[in-house]
Amino acid sequence: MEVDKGKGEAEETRKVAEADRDTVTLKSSDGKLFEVSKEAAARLSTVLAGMIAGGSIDDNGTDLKQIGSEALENVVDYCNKHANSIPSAALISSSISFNTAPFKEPEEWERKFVDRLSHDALFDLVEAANFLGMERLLDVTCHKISEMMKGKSPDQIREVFNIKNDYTKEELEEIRQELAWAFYDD
Amino acid sequence: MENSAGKDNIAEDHGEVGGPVVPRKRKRAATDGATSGPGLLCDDVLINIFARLPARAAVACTSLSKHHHRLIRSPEFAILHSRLGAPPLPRPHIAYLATAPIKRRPGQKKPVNVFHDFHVAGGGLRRGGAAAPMRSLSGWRYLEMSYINTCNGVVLLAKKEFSRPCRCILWNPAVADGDGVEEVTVPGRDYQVLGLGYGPRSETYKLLLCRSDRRRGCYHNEYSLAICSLGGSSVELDGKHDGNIRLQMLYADGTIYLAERETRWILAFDVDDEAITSIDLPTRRYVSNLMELSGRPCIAVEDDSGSKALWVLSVDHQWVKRYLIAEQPVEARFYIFSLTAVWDCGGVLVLYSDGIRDDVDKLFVYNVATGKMFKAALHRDMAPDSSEYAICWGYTPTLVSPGSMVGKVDQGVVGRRRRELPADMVKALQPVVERDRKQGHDATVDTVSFMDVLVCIMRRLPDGVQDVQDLVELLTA
Repeated sequence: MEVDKGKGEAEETRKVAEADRDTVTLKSSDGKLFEVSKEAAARLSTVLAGMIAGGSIDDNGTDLKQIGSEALENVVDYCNKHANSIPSAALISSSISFNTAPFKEPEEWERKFVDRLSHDALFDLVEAANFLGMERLLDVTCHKISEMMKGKSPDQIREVFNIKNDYTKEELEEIRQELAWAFYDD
Repeated sequence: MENSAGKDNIAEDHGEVGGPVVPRKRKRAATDGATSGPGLLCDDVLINIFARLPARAAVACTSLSKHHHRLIRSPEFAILHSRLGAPPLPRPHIAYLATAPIKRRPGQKKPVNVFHDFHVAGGGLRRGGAAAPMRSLSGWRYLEMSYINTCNGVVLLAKKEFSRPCRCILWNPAVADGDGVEEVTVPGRDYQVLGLGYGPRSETYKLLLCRSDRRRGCYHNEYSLAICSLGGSSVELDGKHDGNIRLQMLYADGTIYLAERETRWILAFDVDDEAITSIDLPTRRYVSNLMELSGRPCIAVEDDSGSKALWVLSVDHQWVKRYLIAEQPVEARFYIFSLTAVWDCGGVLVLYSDGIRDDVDKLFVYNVATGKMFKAALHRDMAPDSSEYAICWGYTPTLVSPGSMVGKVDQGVVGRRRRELPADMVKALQPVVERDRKQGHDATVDTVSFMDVLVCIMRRLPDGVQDVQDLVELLTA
């Protein structure tokens, strides 16, 4: 790690070293520091890429007030794992592609990565991914949550998302009749 | 409590009903990780999650709360939903439109009304044991309107001839009646609507039109093409084309494909670039109707040596030979040019031929690995006439509202209706509407059960070829 490389040296050297540093330090809402490779951060997060390019990265920990330490740990973990993973052969399209689906299925490690998370941790991570503009992580986490919704009744989904049903009985009935094809149990 | 907080936010974000759509960024307060209120996600994330659900599940989510109803009905959601390609319908399935003219008196020559019934056989939209129609459309304004093509879950109906004014119907059968149908009138000269397409880069829907340059006594018609951007203007395209405009249309991946059987080429219209490319068919001999396989245009051809094959057009417009159909003994032969449908059931192909003569065998099951084919001599009463149905190749249910396609702002308000008659008139007309609808349902019942039978057959494949053979014998005995 080269975090401490610049510290305690002459200002000029420090600046040069800072530019040379290949990690960035991120600070969670509860003040914990995390380190992540600059290259991975810039590649996976549009927000961090913008901050790095704009020079607004704080050497002592860039404040991310919206992200708790657990979520940030997962973000950093994801960045590190992503850096180490090799794209699977399935993702490299053949010369003639019939598959035009814009969404790439999560890879094995990505699936495992989100599967081990608790419900709350997953929801915090999806918010963090959205906040940091991490498109792929957002894809993977949203995909996971949408899979969790499958086969669930509206009541069960309300519970998962903590949604209050603000329809009157009549309004609900009207919707169910209008869109009868979408409801199994009418 | 988060719930009431959420509600306040809704009120705050929307102001009043009819405000310019979609709340954004309902951020929850800064959190300290896991101790925050569970399940309060911002709208960006919610849309992103819901857009990955199959259309049916997403529609069901409109019943969660008024806020979710608005989110799911927003144009933003529709765009994201079609981009994320929410899981396509389970295979095997057949999306089709069953059509029946409606007459009020026996012996009446011209129908007064028409009944279009949209179904997905095997689409999992089952209720009470029978595949329920997602939606039907009936009324005089849909008379003479035929199925043209479908794009992003929206079905295009139009006259198969030149007309002035040129009208067409955009219909999303998955959306509630009031918002599911939009009539579009193309301004200007005599046009025929050829197809509907969507340009993913320009995020616009466009109609491909055809203008006749016909001269009297001329066998070949000359025509030129034009484009009408929905919610925008029409543009004439350069270049003349030859042919009888007996075209078949298919939309796939930002391109409208037009097949002209007699001239032996396919025109590809890139919706974003508004460019036309002419693609030669792999053979100039016998060619089937334009079909779909693996989400791409597909045709069956018979080349000069008499061998038959299925070819698929790749995204970069190369014909790829997918399946070769081995030479068959006389009793299992079929005609390429009457082939209207093909389904790939894991290495066993189901081919449907819509013969001009009623006694032509209609259904073929072909095992690619063994090269064996058997044909099902379906009783002529069983298979529908080609005028009674249209297969909607490439249909995926979406929540795209036709109103938003033509630039009307979708307010997504619960209980809102467009073009509604006063309640007393609706009530007075109700018995006639009901009777017409019943007549329509009765008239399409054969088509519907035929399609269900096809799906039953496909579900038994690829393993149960023998099973299917026995069943078909039972059916036709």
